[in-house]
Amino acid sequence: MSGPILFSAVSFRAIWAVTCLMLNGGAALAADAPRAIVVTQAWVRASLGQTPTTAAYLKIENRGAAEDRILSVATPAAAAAQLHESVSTDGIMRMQAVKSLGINPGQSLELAPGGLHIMIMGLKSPLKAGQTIPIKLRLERAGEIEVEAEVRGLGAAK
Amino acid sequence: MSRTAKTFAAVLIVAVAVVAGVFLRHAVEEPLGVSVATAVKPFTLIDHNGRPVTDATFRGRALLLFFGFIRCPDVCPTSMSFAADLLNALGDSAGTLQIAFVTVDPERDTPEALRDYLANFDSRIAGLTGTPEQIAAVTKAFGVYYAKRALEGLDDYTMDHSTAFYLVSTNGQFHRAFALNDDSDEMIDELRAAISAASSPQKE
Ligand SMILES: [Cu+2]
Repeated sequence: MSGPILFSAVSFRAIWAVTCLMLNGGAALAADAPRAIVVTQAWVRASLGQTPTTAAYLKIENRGAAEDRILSVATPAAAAAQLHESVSTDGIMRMQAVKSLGINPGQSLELAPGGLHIMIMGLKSPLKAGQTIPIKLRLERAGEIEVEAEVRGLGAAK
Repeated sequence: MSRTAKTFAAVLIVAVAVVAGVFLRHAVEEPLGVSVATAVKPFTLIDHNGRPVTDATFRGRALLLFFGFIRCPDVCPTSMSFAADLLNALGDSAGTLQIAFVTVDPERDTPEALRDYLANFDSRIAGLTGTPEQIAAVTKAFGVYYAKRALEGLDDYTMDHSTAFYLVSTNGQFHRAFALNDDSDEMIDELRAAISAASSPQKE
């Protein structure tokens, strides 16, 4: 019984992947075709000395007609990156991993200091203001989007 | 649901929200076990120059404390850049205030590391560290919570911690706590007023 179900799940994924690829490829070929997901204002906080953790922020806009969802984030500059949210309960701040982040059509979402952020852990080398690092977002519909994040000073608030 | 039941449910929800809101605001302004206008319990720490300091060191100036740690990637740098904005906004009267960043990660945050860290925001902000026991004592004096938490899949940890600013009057009495909100201009105004009240605590 599990065979056909498993098979159909796999084939659905395969069709989905191919569809995503075609959509992305198509968008790249037609240079003036509007992208559904637009990522702007990406920046990352400089790190202090050998401190291996920092945070990145960006604005993501869904110009498409369907909801999309950030499934994961990554950067070649560090061992790990995760979507996090700084949440305050009774004045106590905790960082929570955010499993996935939905963006409704027409919505634009800002990852900004003190709230949603991309937590960067295990930096391979210190980040200095003026550098840039690539940040990859994997979305359910739009697939992989890579942006260059500008490194800003440790004291930067935006 | 009947109309009456709906109304009742709505009223109940609002009432719970209001009580929770009042409680939360209270919890932030007056942390657990710390009352306003009472003397802050004595503490001894080490500053960013490696010098010992106590609660008495700061008498005569309003003292604004923040508890955090250097590896904190989001909230601590955001709070310290607010602290730098506050000092700039105070202009000439910034001298009436001492802002201090107290580490809740004394194992990693040495005086030198604190000095380098705070220089990125404003060198007028003092960095305070100490033995784990000294940090436990000062956090207890302000009703500050902190706890280590392992970072999943990494040989590293982060800290959960209270992120309010705690204002101490010139005479060493606890004035009140402030939670950083989204409107930094509003917060600067509120703090400006509180700092001037905390600078003449006899009039309270
Ligand atoms: Cu985080």
